[in-house]
Amino acid sequence: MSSQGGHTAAQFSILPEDQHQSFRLVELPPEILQLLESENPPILYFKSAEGTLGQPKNSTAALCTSDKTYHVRQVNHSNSVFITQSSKLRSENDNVQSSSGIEAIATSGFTLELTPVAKTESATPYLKAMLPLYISSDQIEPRDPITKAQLFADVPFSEVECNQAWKSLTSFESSNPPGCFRPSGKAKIKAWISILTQATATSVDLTASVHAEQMSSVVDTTEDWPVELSYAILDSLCIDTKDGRCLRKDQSLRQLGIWQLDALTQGGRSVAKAEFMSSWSDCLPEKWRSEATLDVLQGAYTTEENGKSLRPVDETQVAQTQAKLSLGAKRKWHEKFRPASKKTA
Amino acid sequence: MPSIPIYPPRTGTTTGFQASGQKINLQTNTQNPLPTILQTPSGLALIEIQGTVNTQNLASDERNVGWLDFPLYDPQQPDDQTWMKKALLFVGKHQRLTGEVKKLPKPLGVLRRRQGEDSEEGLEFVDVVRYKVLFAHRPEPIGWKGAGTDDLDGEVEV
Repeated sequence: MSSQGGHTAAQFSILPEDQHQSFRLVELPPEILQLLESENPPILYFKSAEGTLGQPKNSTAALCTSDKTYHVRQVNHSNSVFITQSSKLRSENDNVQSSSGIEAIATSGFTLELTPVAKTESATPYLKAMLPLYISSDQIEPRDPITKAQLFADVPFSEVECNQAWKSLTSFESSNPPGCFRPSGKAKIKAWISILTQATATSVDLTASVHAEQMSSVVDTTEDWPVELSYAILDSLCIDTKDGRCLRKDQSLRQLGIWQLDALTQGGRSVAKAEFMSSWSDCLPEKWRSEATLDVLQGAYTTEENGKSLRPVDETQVAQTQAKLSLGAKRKWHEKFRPASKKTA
Repeated sequence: MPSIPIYPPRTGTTTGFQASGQKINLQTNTQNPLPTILQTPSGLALIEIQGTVNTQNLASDERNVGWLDFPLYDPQQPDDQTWMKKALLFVGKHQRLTGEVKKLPKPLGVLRRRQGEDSEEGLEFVDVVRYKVLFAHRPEPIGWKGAGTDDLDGEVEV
């Protein structure tokens, strides 16, 4: 055996294909490698979108850690890649000692490449497309009710990113009506005003730190919308403090402005600036009323009729136009090669 | 589509793999003939060849293709890595491939369907491979009549 090779020569054999095991090779970015080598490596997940946003199914396959998402791309290779393991050789001749060799137990035609998703991508458009719009308990987009877990399973983003998007849409899960929803601007403002009224009535100052028990006392359980909606409102506007929670000032001013603008322009119409400004400051805690200026809402509205009326900016539309623009640029890049290829033809 | 869990490599791989009910177990008890740097906990390694390896003897259970050799490797000097520049793969009776050991720019996770004692569904990382033995050139013809070459079967087609 060693007439040609040195002492390290190992017999190389290939198992018949029908005995091959099935393996997939995944390129590991440093962060994933670090996770796998940590003391308690976490479970990762493959996720894919259920063709929600009009893309073909597999184009949105993703590998997720608890808080990060990687796009999965299949890269084919033309070489033969064998996955081998060491094997004990069977020896027909008893005089020859059986030595170990290596045996190809699988071949792999491609590698899965992982690239982190761009910072501009988020789970929000997916959730927005999948969650039925809640206007009031009598006015809900008709969809089959699904649980939050079912919903997240079909969104190709990590748990943390799904939760961020869930929160950014003030989504809620309730038992009556059953399912998950994203409330309309009107529904959010209505629930918020109820919270604010209740807080004033029970002399709870939401702009200062409020104890958890007191916080729940501002949620009126007799209203005709699910309490989960009211809690979702509080979740999206409040931060935790040392001894309870309080409204985040900048965030709340802007959020309430956006919701109010959304509520007043339902059906795609625009709203007079004066009307909007007064209803916006009406839904703010007394202390903050004077701080409602359009600067706070920068980027969230467009003006019409020489600045006399306002219209909200649809964030998903902005994202879509950006996507189209970048696609356009890519196509132009491709055009560059057209004259060249004609010459060769 | 529900999300598919991918479990990390099991610790104490030997028992983990021995427990699997598959026809072929990943063996960790056999002595690994590869240089230490190529050895992984589960004993898996990657060999990449330009072209395909054809074997004739379809009836055979195991196809002895040839020999893999690292002629410059000296187990007494594990820190010296010059041996990685040369790897030889003898295929069949008439071909020799010259290659090298390459460190992968990004290590590869080897994934497979999860199996074993608990019937949890999903996938698992069997191992992480950091090196591959790459034979990127065409085979050279050789006349090789060494001992134990009678049952060799295989030919590289580029």
